[in-house]
Amino acid sequence: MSRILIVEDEEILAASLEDILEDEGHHVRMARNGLEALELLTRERPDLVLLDLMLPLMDGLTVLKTLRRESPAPAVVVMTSCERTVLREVPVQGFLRKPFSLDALLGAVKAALP
Amino acid sequence: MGGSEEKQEAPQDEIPRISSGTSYLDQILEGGWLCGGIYIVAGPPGTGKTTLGNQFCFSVANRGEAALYVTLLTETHSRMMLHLRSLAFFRSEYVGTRIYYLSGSVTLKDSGLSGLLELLTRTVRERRIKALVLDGFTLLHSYAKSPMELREFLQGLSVLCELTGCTALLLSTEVNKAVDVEYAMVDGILALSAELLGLKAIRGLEVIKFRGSNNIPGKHTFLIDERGVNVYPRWEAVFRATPRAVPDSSVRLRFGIPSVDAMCQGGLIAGSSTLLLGSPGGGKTILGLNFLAEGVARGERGLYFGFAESAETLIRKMKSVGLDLAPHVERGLLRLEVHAPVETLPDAMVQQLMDHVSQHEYQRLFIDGLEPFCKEAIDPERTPRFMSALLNALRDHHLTTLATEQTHTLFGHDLRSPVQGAEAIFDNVMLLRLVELNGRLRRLLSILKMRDSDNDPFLRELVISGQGLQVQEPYAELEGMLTDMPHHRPPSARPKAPRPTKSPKRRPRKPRGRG
Repeated sequence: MSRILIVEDEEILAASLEDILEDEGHHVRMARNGLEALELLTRERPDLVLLDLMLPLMDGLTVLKTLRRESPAPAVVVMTSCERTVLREVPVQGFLRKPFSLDALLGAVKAALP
Repeated sequence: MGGSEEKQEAPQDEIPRISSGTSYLDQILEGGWLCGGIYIVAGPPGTGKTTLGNQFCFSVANRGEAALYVTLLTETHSRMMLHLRSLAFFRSEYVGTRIYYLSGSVTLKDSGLSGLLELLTRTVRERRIKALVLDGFTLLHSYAKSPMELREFLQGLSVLCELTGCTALLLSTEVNKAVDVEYAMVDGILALSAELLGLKAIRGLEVIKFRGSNNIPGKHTFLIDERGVNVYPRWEAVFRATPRAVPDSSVRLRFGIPSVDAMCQGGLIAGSSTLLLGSPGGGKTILGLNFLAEGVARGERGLYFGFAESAETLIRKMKSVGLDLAPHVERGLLRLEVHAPVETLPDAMVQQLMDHVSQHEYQRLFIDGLEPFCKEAIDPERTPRFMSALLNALRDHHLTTLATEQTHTLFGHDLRSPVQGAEAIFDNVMLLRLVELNGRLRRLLSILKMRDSDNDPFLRELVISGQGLQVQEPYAELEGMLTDMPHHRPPSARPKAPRPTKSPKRRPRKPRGRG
């Protein structure tokens, strides 16, 4: 069982992802904006972050850059409507372009988890 | 005191405009939204609010500025992207770099309207947002604890927009809330609708309120296609001026058929409009194409704008009467523009026509079929105004226009034009109809009206053959042919008709400038 943090402002999508990943046996936490994500990252130390990029209060790229400074840094799978170039070469363990399939999600999660 | 009065009297600087992302909506709004304004775009689901909102955002992004699209329990962003990707204005590289999509539903649920306003304020300031779309504005009613809270939200948003120069669109499904607080507070209200006309869905747009600016009032139609929302202002509301150009009766444009030109005293008056009214098969299209071909032979560019036959069919048809249009088409002197008359809007069609006319230097125009312009109108009573505005605009482009229209009946004495008042709107009316005579169908050509000109008053047979078109001697011994009930006239009452073979005054061969 892995600890996964979902950072997603769209409630319906976030709730669906939470259900799916809990069904897969993971322990899931949720953050609705960038600031909440940083707080939970410090407190929960997840193994994997599923990270949206366009977020209220602090965007996903800022969250990503912040957690890349941490050690050990969690794995990150970005899920976004943006093109990959938006990441500006910040390394991630997975990139899901919305809309994505359930297989793609589970595949990306499996590949990214240590 | 004097100083203060002077200050009040000084003209205020005009508020800058921001394009709505659709040019004809900008035209209706006299230049676009007012920068820093708040507007409600209301309409039932499926009427195009989301497309219009996104079109606005991408238009702002195209100018290098940032836009924010906030959803409140509407479709997910990924689904929205899926729909937007097929539209011409969508640029994926703008998503997340210039256009930010956020969901405000959790904030609204957790922190109410004040929390949402805080989120908007923070994002608009941080991202230097110039266009804000709040999709699902109706939902704020459910979360507002009182009308006062909604008022405070709108006041806060208004201050934010004013300070940052950000223009906000609030997308709402409520359309009949004219007394509600938000409708009084916003700078403008745009209502979108979709109604059925027979089996066809007609999308409508109406500016209900637009503070601090003129606009073109009333209802306009729009289409949603691969270009997004395309608004077509009511043509008669756009082109309201009387034409500056005046038909010049000293200059005649010939059909290139001597006998027909003689009936018209040498041709049609330059800048005039002529209705070819007649039954199917009466020869309207061939006569109109002759008119264009004659113009091309004189160096005058011509435009055919029709609906029924393809360009290839038209070329083949004219070849059968001895005129080869293909070389003129290839050289670009003649354009055969054929549109399928399905699911179109008259205002969209007139805009397409005027786009062609504006882009090219045409002298002759042949509209083959007024029906798609007139019968598809939502309100048939607007047809005379619509046609007048169209003909006025064409005259101002120095065009001499021919247009065809089918009569109600194939045979019989009902000679009314299906387009109400068309006979009065056009300068000239020529009637082409079929009559039965001695067991044979014959085509009859007669001039019912020629403004500012004499014309041949006789009914003559129009003969179409491999050698071309020509008109014959009138049937002096018959009367009642116009009503398709010919009968013999007593010999004493038979008039002497002149042979229509000479053209008294011809248009000079050298093409004229457009002045």
